[in-house]
Amino acid sequence: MLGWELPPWNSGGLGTACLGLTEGLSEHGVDINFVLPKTFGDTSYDHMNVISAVDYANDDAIKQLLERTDMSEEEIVRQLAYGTKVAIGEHQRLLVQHFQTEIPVSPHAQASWYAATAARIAKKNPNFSVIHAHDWFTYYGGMAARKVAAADGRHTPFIAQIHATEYDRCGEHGDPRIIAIERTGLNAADRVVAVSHYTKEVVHKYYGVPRSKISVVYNGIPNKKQPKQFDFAELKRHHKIVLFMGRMTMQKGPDYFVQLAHKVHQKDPNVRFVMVGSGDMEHRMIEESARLGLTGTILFSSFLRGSDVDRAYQLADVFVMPSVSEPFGIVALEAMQNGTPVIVSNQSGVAEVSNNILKVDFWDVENMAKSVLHVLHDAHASKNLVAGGKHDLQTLTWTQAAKVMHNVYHDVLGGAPHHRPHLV
Amino acid sequence: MPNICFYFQVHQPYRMRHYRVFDIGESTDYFDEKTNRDICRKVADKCYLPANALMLELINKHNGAFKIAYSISGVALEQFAEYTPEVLESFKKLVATGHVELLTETYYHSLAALFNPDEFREQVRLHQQATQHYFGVTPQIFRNTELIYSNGIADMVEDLGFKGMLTEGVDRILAWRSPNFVYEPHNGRGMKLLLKNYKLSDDIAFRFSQQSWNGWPLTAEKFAKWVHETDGAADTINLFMDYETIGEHQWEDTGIFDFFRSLPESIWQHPQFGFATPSEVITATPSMAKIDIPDSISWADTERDLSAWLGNPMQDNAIAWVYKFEEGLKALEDPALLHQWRKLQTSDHFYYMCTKYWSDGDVHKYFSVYDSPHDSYVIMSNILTDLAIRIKQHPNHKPRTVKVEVESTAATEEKASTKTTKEKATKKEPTKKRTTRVSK
Repeated sequence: MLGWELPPWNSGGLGTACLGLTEGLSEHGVDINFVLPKTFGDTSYDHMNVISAVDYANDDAIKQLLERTDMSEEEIVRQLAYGTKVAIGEHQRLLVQHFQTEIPVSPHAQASWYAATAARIAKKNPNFSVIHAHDWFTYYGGMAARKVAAADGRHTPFIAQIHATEYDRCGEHGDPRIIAIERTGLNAADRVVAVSHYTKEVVHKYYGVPRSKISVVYNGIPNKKQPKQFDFAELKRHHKIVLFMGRMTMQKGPDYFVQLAHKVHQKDPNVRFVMVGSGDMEHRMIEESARLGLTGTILFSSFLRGSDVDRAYQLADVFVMPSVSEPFGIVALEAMQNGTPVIVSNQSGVAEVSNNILKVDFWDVENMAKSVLHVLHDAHASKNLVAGGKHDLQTLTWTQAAKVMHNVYHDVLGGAPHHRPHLV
Repeated sequence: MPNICFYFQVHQPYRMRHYRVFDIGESTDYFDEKTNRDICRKVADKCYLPANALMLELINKHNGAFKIAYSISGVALEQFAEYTPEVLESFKKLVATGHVELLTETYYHSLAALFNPDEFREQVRLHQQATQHYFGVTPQIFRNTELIYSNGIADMVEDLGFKGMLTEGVDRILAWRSPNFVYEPHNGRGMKLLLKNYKLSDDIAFRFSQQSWNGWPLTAEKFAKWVHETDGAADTINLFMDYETIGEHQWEDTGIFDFFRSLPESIWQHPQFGFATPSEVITATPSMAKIDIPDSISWADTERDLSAWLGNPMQDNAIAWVYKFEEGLKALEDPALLHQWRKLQTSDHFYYMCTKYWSDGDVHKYFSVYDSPHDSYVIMSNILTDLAIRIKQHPNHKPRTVKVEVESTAATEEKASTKTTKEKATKKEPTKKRTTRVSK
């Protein structure tokens, strides 16, 4: 399995999803080698083996290739992606640094670096029967590993799972280079797995992947874990709280949340809004809230980790996810798990999985405000949403997600029952 | 005979800690005790202690012919008493020489003069009490926070019985006039004004160690020569600056201590020149003219208006909200809570929220303990939300008297006045920038 991040070293939902899914898969008897660009500190998990790609990146040609100016990026990538023996030393170190700090370097350089190392990993660990890659960064790696297996005469299916497309992240203003990698990877894959029907349609519409090649596997939440309970008697005694939780980027719709706060504030000035998360729109949202006179009405908190996340959900009387385009939206399930009523945008995958979630269009702030006030002022309705949501969560687990994914493996391997998937 | 009138501002705010949303309703621990203690300690070692020792040495050596003035904010005095008592003792020694004048300011180094006259007068009274308590003197001269001044503020200050007031010698106000004379407020009834000679003051405060400046390196002789050149066109050369200039903004290795050590003798090279305290200057010197300053001026940034603390929505809304607490809080008669609130009025909090020069990595950034102007705003919003809850749940609280909800904008009057001053200040002159005195 080729990934980008795993908790606790994650910047968002992708890492959470990969961890949950692999835990579920291991319950189904799947052995997993999980490749990360680089591991930090003590990254070990009981249910799978984690490989740090950096440990395999040690020959010269990438450096030479990356320094060439007489070749197109695509050409360089093609050469790198097919298992050329390369090492990059300082350049490699810098690339890895870039991966982690998200300083924009050429997406092709990132993807192809990962592809070259994935090819080497595949050679050293040839005992795999399915390749499962998560999001654009890893797709060339999936292709490269499949090529390595093919060279040994094995047909090894490559599954490209899509957790978020560049269109989700950036709308029409995505990086065309990343979109190109996504298109190449998704079309090259033997099977595409989307985290919702919403995303399946995005992949079909924007990347031209036939619907018949796309399976849907919903995300889930850990089935065992019950959140620790926090007490907010004092603040909650004085104010109803509406929560935003997510990166402050265009995709997550923080600007719609600020507009929502403005609308609700006019009807009920005692409501407080808490926006949790960091991102390129954070400062703009803070300034905008001040400009709208919502000082003290909207409170802000940077990115939270660990139990503070549960704490924030429990602080809230309603959780709103106004995402402009959300392939799934695990945060909504987390909120439900913490007993908080949920409102999500129709432009999200999670809207498909439960009837105990209120749904509005992300741009329909008027309606969103009505829904918020409804949940805040109608204790009965709020209680029903929470109870119904808890019921729905019983089937929205990673165990359940992994079961469906396991069927997909089965399917791509030609349904042969003797195959025991072992994954890169 | 023209005199040099040195005035040093001594101030340290209570910096807010990273008070989180989760702290609301749970903690009244608003301020970062460790940071405040560490900064006090650091600035004491780099500036207050060695600079005070130097000033005492000069006063004793010259038998009082060298003299200076300070204002020490109440919040700084409090922190000295708690964190660095030896600093307080060294100031007491200086005052006891009889050649050091203390000035009054608002205890909390606040912008109350702009927002709430009653609160302003109360904080002036608190500062006078503190000065009396620590030093046994009652100052006759007033300097408002950051030298903020307008006709209206002058009226309030004169009503309080002060004989003189300090402010900035702003070019757009003075026009052809010189700051080197004594003036009176527009509606003055005898109170006198001393205006900062910002060119000579900033030569020391800002340019002293600037190697790209053609005056560099600045020696006492060279500086004295510039001072002497004003002969015939000056009654007083008002050199007003942050005390932290000596050793903190300008480090010891820039030669700042040696500069001050030899300055008195260099000044006396011209027999007509000497040193005087603000009180001595206003007593000895008649006023040249009345001066009309309808819109607020200050010594901050190149604009020398209020735009360091007010003008962006974060600043305007945060400060408007702070002052909305007044009525509800005072009704509680809870001195500890009142003190907490007043510490939030310190101008530095709003200075940190300034976005004017943020991208340039300018002095605002240097003087802030936060990563961005937004941090300061976010933290203050959390704290004020807590404060509102404290008031509601207070045993003395009578629900009908409280007005703590935020309204959409700052008081319209304030908005208007900020806007006018900003418009007037659009002609930027990128030569020097004023700062507040919060060292990192």
